[in-house]
Amino acid sequence: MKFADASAKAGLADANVSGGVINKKYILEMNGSGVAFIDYNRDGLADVFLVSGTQLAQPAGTPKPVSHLYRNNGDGTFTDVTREAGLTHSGWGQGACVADVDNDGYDDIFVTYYGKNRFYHNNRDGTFTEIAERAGVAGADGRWNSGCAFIDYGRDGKVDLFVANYVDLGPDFSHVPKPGSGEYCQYKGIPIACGPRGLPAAVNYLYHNNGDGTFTDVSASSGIRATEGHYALGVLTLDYDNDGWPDIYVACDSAASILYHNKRDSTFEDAGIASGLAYNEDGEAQAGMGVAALDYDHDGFLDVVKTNFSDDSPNLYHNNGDGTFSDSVFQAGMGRLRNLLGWGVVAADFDNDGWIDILMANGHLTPEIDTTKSDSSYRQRKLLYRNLRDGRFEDVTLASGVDAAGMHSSRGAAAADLYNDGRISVVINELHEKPSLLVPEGPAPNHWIGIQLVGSRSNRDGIGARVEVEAGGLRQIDEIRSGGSYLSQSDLRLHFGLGAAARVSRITIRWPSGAVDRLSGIPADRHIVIEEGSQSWRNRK
Amino acid sequence: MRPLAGILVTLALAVNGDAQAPSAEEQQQLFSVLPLIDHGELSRAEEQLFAGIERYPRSAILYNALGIVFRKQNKLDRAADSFRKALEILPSFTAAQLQLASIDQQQGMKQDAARLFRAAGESTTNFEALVAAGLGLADCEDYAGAAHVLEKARAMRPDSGSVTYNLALAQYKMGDLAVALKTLDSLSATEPDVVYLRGKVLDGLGKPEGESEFAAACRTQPGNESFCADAALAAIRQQKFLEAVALLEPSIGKSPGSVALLPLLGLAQFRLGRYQEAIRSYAASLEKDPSLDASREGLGFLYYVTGDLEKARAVVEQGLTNPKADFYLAYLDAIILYRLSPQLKTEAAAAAERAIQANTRFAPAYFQRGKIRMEQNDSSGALADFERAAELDPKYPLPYYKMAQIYARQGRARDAEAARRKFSALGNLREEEILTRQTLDVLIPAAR
Repeated sequence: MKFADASAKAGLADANVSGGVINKKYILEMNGSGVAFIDYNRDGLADVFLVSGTQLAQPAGTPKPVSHLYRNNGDGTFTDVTREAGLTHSGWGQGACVADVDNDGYDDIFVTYYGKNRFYHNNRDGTFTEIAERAGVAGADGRWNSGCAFIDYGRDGKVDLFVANYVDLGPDFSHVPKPGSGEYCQYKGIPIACGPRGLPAAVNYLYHNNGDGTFTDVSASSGIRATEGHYALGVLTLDYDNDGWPDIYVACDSAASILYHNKRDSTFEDAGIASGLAYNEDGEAQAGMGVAALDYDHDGFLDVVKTNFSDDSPNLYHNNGDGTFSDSVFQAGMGRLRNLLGWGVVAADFDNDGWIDILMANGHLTPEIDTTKSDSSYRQRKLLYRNLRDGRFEDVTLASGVDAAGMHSSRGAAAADLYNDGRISVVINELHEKPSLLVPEGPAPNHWIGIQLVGSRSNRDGIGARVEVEAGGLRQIDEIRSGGSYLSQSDLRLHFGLGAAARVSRITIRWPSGAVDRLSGIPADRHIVIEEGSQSWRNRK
Repeated sequence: MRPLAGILVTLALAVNGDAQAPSAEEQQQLFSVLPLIDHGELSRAEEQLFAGIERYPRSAILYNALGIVFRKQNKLDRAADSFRKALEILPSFTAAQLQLASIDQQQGMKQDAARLFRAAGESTTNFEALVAAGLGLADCEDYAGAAHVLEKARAMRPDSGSVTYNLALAQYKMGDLAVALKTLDSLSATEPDVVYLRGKVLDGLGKPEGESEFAAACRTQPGNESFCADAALAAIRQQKFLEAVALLEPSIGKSPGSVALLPLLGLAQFRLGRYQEAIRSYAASLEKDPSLDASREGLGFLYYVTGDLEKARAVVEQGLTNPKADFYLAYLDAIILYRLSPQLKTEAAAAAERAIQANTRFAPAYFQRGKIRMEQNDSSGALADFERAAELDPKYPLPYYKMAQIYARQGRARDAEAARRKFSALGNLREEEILTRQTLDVLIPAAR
């Protein structure tokens, strides 16, 4: 497992914009943006969509900042296709999530904004049409939309949309105090932009897919709105209780995180406190940022990793299998680096040994932090934890070369097998800088398999499908999911490391429709496509 | 406060104006002895005074002088007897009152001393005697009496900075803060003692300006531990951690042997997120004085929060070999063991138990024991602990969180919701805020 930063060679050339570089008046300028993988042209290669914000005042004569779509050329380079794809909206872009919303075989992109969201429908010709207003998911001016995820919560074959909201800044920041002006406007004695504490919390949204290109806001009737007063950021969908119904976990900043438990009747209830996912082990609120699901100990239940603020530890919530979680971060050896402020988090088997590893992207809020001369700094290194297969993780940041990406103030992070060769790469959206692209050096270690699902009764992407892979005596699980990490989206294809096993003995897919497909004897080291009900697989092109 | 001894010698002859005056012969006898006393020829002075007393057995001033000679020879009982004899002859003899009061105070008889200082303060019109009585009363912790007497002295010499300062100090000590502040207003604010006292008064009044007064006093006299400790504490309380460090570092440079300031520096560094520096400060403090629980607690806590649990355990458990170790060390041991390994839950429970035994009113220890019981599926024991923790500290939200979890898992939805509401009402604290609270409630008092 050895990474190099390939961003320069790859041509991911545009720097993120998020307000003032040095002096930040508002928290909006600090949170940065996410990144999403989407194979928008169905060429079998994961393309990169890097979300960008804008500036409070646009300097005269400068181009307006936009998010960027980079087409993967398959040779280690990317081409900026933002303009030709029609994605040139400029605004306070936050996060992105991907799904084939109309089941037409082409993935669409939803982009959250401070302000109205943008929903880009894939025209199947390399271009997109913005349909947020028409679809009913634009929201309103002044809303601070953050994380998002598509989820087929009713298992009706159409993906719905969950949109987290952070702070109610209003349309003109008029009720936001000045930096340093109050209790929540300073950090370790220095004045910084206020919030989120002290500012009104926003509310989350759930939009039901009507199947006709429009959505209905069901936030109230579904129970999503029943829990308020949170500052919601990262969104993770997972079936935490193995009941076959997708639930939603939302990392919240300085407040209880939310676990929307799917009650199987199109409603949700917050099981955060009962499950132990709302707070840390004692009941202390944390500043949750990014989230990822993984079954790190192969017990058949999805565990949760969450990044938090500095002077705190991340959480590694072990799923006890009874609806509750225990934070095992210290026992796992991941609780020591309190100087790092975590954002994006990716759970992937980077060394293909069959055990999921964890990568965290870190960075502080503003360069002003450096004046405190604390152990923490504005620019921080990323962290890579290797799964030691006994419940513990080892910090292999230096040995793996992850530190080669240098020090940045990182935000969103997402993973994909960019070159379809079994090596998982990670793109990180760096605040005010060009993105980092961590690509493994050399051939893929160990054997692996990539799985793309195509739903028929279920939604086309198979979002929410539970996939179980048995190989070499190990049984691994994962789910196809939209959203995740910090305002980001990893590749919709699943990736399983197989260790020394050159063959997968069995793949079991529990589709959102309820159908179950079982396949066996699949050779390793390839990407395969499995269509719902076919009980067979084919190589992906 | 200024020391009394110097004043008492100058008052050897002080007799109230309305008292019967000593005869010329008595006075002559006394004057012949005074040079001997001044030159330290105490045996000769003693002999001559006995001879004089034989001649003038009702001479209060000779008994008083004899008392002074005995006192100088550290024969306190005989001195006290002489002063008592002087007072028996002349009950309003101020000098004897002050001398005897001073001995009483020295011997721990504060009430007797205060009675005599009060009497002297009431009867005398001598400025020095009033000052001595006022300072004596303050030393006997009769601050109201001290203020009353010093007020009289101040009326005689309003320009005496020393009297005004001591009056303000007495007013501060008796809790009359607004009056103390007014008294201080008449003083030049450049003297570090005055600036510091103003800081104490403002701090007592809950005014944040106190912090800047402490800081000014500390900057003027960085070698003064009290000034700089209070300045740093005030800065830490106001979350001005950079300032606290800036005050403490030069102060520690002036007093490298100080064990009082290092834990405070460690605390400020800790809150600034300078964990490694903080660890070094606490470790240095502990090295200077391994018996200092405050430093050990700070170091153990730092290792704990930075995830170095084995080191945290070693530091804390070394302190716990002392059976009289502070309860907070046992509590720290409990939370360290709990986090260190699931296999150490029994040991963690025992440590929590020890903390509870050492301090039955420390809510976090019950909370910690409750958590362990909860994990051991002892729901009723856990609930009892959480309820006790909540009872001991009604503003402590965390027990309600755990109660809500237990009730939810028991299917007691209504109870769970009630506990959750209580938890929310008390405020969902972030760890940063918990640390702030711990800093204020535990670490600062420990550092002091």
